[in-house]
Amino acid sequence: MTAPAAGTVDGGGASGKRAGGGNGALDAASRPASPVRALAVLAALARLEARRYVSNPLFVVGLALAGLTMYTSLRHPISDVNGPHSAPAMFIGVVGIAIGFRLSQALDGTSETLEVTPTPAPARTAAMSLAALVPFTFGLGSLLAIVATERLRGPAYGMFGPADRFTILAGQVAVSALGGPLLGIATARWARALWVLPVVVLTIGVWITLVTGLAYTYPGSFPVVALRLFAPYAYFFDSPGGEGQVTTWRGSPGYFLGWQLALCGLALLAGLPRGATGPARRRLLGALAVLLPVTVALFILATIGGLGHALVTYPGGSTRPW
Amino acid sequence: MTATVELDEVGRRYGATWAVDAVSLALEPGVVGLLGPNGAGKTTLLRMIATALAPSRGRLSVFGLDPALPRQRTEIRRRLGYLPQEVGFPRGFTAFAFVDYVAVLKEWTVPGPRHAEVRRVLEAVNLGALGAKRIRALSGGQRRRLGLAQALLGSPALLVLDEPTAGLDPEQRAALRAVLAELGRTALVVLSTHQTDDVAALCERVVVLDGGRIRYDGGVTELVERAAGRVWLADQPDPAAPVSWRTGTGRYRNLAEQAPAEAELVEPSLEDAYLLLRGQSATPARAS
Repeated sequence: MTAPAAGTVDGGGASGKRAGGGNGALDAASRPASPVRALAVLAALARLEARRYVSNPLFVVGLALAGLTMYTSLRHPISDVNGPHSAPAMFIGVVGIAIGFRLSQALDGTSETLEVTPTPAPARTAAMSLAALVPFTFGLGSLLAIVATERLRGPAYGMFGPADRFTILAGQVAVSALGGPLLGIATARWARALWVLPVVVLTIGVWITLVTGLAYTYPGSFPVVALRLFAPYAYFFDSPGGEGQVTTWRGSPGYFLGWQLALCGLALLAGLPRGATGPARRRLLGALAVLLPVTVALFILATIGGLGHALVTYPGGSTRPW
Repeated sequence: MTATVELDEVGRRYGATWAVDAVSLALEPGVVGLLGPNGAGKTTLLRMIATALAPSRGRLSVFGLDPALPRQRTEIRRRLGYLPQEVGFPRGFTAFAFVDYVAVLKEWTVPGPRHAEVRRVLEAVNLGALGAKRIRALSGGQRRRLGLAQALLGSPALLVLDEPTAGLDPEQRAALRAVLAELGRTALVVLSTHQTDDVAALCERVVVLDGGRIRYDGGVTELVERAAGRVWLADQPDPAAPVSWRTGTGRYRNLAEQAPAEAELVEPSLEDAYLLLRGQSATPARAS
């Protein structure tokens, strides 16, 4: 070990290098206003968190699997949209739940060291949440690849118009890549036990499988529509038998996308209050209180909007109610 | 003039037990050692000074600021370095990445200067060559020094160190003393330790805690002087001595008011003085 050089003891080595150019920590007057400093810290922290996310082996493996699945499926015309298009949700979104959880949980043991820094815990959570833009970017890339390859044409998309087709894919491919990591981060902020992670993943997986299975059997039933859309991920059509026949399900793709985005917001706002105190905590809880009814409203609109009943489209182009 | 750290009748309670009880102190720049047996309240006191824990009663001010107020607490934390008793490290981090992460939390936002500062503190604790190594691959002593490195970021005006020398070999301890002594010329360094020789080598002032209360607060030399004329080397243990033990030479070191038979009076050490103080203030300690 070497003693610090004379003159560096009192922050001399730090001169002009901290956010706002403060001399060590002592020259408070020379720093810019607090919000500017807080934003600079958040940006720097988000860059570090993004690097942690990208270098996570799970992310690399998930990305490779998503890319491989999409590459093999998009080389041929698609008869069943649901299968290949769920690859990014599975390999970027669901894997993102685990990555977000582990990134957040990895710092738990260090909490006493980190808590006595000037940056509060919600800023760390916010930075981790900003890092979720990394998988979201790859989700957006996947979406653009699908749009560029398929041009959203063909009978596989049922009775939906181009805008609804894009909306459905945006929710399934891009938003799920954002929502997964946000859910993982929020969960880890409140539940530290490792077993919580598989429970969350399994609950979501089993629920989506169950309600989608019901929708295959009862595509026209209103309660089934409500159950199907009460999930972070949903299908809007199916191709029974794979013979060109497509059933377009009930529900509004646009409002469902809104519901998905609102769920992302809820996940973000659920994680941020951890460690927040005073007015900041009150503001966060206030925002949560506002977003909650908006989310419920979007869910109701997604359920009652869209087609009044399921429609079956046959290979010849004819359509009849299910 | 306001002291760097001021405690006025500060106490901290866990359930029905007062871990720290009515402690009053005014600490100025320099190196202050905190001695006391396990459970004396040292860690609780340090955690309160480091703003990691709020006092249950009394008034605490750091740099003249009140840590109970969020804005003032943040301002204190800008000028603080803290090494907890047990530093947990995040999984998957290298030594450099960990200190870099803490540096960002300490508002070093510009990568170039931040990385230079991270390298400086890693060099200061002799870990410069191990920056790229995963923390899980570091030894216990190296991890301790890594914890210390993050506390040194920005050369803080207040450094709170809970057992900084635990797990370090003699060379590392000597090197650490040099670092802390240099810092103590302008900053306040408060450290707790069980190593009385560290306190003797580093500190001008020592505070002895026992049962959450201050048993001694003053100069190290004055504490040692209290033991003058009460430390005896003899061939036999003195049954009347509150503390007595067999030394490496085979003779017995007796801490006693009266000279044992055929005993030789020797110069007291800080450890003698501390043990005598403990023998007077708490249950008699008899080392063997």
